[in-house]
Amino acid sequence: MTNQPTRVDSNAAPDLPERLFSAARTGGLALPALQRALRQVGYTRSLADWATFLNTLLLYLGALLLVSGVFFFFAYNWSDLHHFAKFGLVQAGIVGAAGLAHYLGLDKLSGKVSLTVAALLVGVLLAVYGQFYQTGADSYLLFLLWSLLIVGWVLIGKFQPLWFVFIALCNVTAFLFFEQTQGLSDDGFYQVTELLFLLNAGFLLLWEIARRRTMDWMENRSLPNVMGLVALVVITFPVAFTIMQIGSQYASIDGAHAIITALLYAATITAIFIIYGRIKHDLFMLTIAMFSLIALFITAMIQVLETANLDGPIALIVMGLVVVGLAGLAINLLQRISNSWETTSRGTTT
Amino acid sequence: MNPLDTTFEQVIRWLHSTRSLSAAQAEQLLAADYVEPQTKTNVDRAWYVKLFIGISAWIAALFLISGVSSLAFIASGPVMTVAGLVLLGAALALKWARQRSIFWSQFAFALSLTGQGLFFGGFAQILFDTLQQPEEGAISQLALIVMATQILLFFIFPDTVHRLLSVIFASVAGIVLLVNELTNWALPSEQIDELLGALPPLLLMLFAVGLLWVWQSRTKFFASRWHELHAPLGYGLAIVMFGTALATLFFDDMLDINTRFLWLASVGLALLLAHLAMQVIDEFANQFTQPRLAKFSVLIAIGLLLIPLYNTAGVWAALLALVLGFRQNGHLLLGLATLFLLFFIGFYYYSLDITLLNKSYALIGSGVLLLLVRFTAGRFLGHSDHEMARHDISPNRGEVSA
Repeated sequence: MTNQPTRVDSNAAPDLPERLFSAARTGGLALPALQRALRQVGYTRSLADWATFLNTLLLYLGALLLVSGVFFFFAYNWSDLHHFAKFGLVQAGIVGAAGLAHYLGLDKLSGKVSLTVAALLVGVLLAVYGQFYQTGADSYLLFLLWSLLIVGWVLIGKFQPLWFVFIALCNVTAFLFFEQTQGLSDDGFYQVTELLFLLNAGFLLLWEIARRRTMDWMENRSLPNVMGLVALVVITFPVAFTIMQIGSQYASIDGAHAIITALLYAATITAIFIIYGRIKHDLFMLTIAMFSLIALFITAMIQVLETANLDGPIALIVMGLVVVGLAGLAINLLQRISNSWETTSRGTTT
Repeated sequence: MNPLDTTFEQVIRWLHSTRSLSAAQAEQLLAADYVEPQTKTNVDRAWYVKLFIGISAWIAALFLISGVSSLAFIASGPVMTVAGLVLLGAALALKWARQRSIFWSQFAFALSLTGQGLFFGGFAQILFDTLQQPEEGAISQLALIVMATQILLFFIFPDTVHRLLSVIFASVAGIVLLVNELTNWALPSEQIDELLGALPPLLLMLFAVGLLWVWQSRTKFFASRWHELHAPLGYGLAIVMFGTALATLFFDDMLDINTRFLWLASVGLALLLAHLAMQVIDEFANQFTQPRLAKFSVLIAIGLLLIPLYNTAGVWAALLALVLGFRQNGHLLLGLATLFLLFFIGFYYYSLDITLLNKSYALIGSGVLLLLVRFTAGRFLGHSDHEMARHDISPNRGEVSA
């Protein structure tokens, strides 16, 4: 036996704590020994982990409260403050935050957060501009300009929260553009969902292509998963709407757009299963695709039963059983896909 | 050799070298190897798959309940109750008999929810229509039966999501029972109002104590045969605690909450947070040059925070869950606590009875203060900002799920 204490890399053995717990459950490992082992494998938090946690929490929360305060300050539209002073204050804030980001460096979290603060303050500046000059322009232009002005910072920031802000601004711009220029009638509903889908799916595709360069800051899957979820939700809705309209005596389907959204939906589902099932393994994306498919299937079944006047108890019971069957099938499929990934990765390891 | 086996071996040998294990114990462990049979896969562990299972089971149960209850021969209360019990029994039998089958497990889940719906619906009909019991007594009896059934199901229905629902349902039934009993207590109405007003803050405290105990005992749970109960109990209590905190915000007029007790709940939750912080500092006492100073600083910080946040129990509940989630590697709890913390902080500033301008000063002041604390604490604790930029707030620890 070696006397050299070994610090095991927890990332190399993600199921190691589980195996230690398993050993403890069978009585082979007493609780004190288990606790020491968990500390040794890095499962229990170290003082450095706590320091990082506290620093990150205080940084994010502090920056968020600060920016919210600035937004509130200018939303108050204080008449005692001269408009030059207002412009000066916001511009000084932007220069200060960007300068701080440069000083701290964009490889540090504090530098990235400073850059995000500067990007948010650009929005405040545009809002103050709108308050003072009252140009009568549609508000989507403010968001469009905001997005365009910060795009450079977004690209150099390499920071997921900043990307999140940028993508959210693009979504708001697209939505407001349709609402303020065309209105959200049936046609507008199809068009706005198509545009929002293309926007989010496009960003997701670009993300996945860029991700192949194995950039550290892109490792976390939260943002691409959010983009994927939004893209899938906005394309599922118009298809569900089309299904509900079929057979309805008050149907108001825009045929061309109904076909376009259906084709986009089919292409999305296929792409998700190919990309995230075979190339880039992502269980979350597959799960939401399954959920979307089941939601559409249930919508279609309800529509069929209603059209055929089959809404008695037996039909409802059958529907319940169908939902169980579909969910079971979906989980079974997810299980098989996940198992095939594990088999492949084991094969690669050995 | 599989690298995972090597690391397990390394740990066991290290435990032996530090005399935490005897040679015989170490060899026994290495011989057994404890490679768990592959009962848990990535699909079982993923929270979104569990959410998907729960939602689809609910949708299925809604169809089944609507269908079964509208069958002509199930119209009466006693028949509905018996049908519910039969379905519950069938669900349990199915779940135990076919635990490995995904389809049958899902079916058993939906069947159990349907059985519960029919059983409770039928029981309510018996109490109100057949026996024509006075409303106050019937509500308590129904709540009691719901609570007892859920507690029983929590132990005997081996499914994490089902157990989570049982914790939530049992807690809600317990609250209904308490409110109903208090309302009908033989006391002057002013005293009853006082008691009812104190209930939400006191319940919040109670759930927070439960949450703290369950999460602090995580290692003990995982090392025992009760390990599968931890996740549903821990997350169920977190959901109920946040739900109660939300109720104190949105239904404060309806519930006529006694602000004195809301204040006490904030202090109580702050004390729980302080207790947790003291435990963390004690854990690293040998790494601090002045552990007493660290403890004193934390207590002062919590005390100072209590001044503006004395009637915002939700913020304290979220902070407690956040620290617990981080300490015990509960990634989902950490995420849930972060969302609720942002919500409760937002609501706090929104509901401040001051002008927008003064709110902006308060927000800017709080933000600057937190950044200053970070700057000072950073010097005190020492940290790598570069490392923070590379990793997330919660680096991957290979979270263990029940």
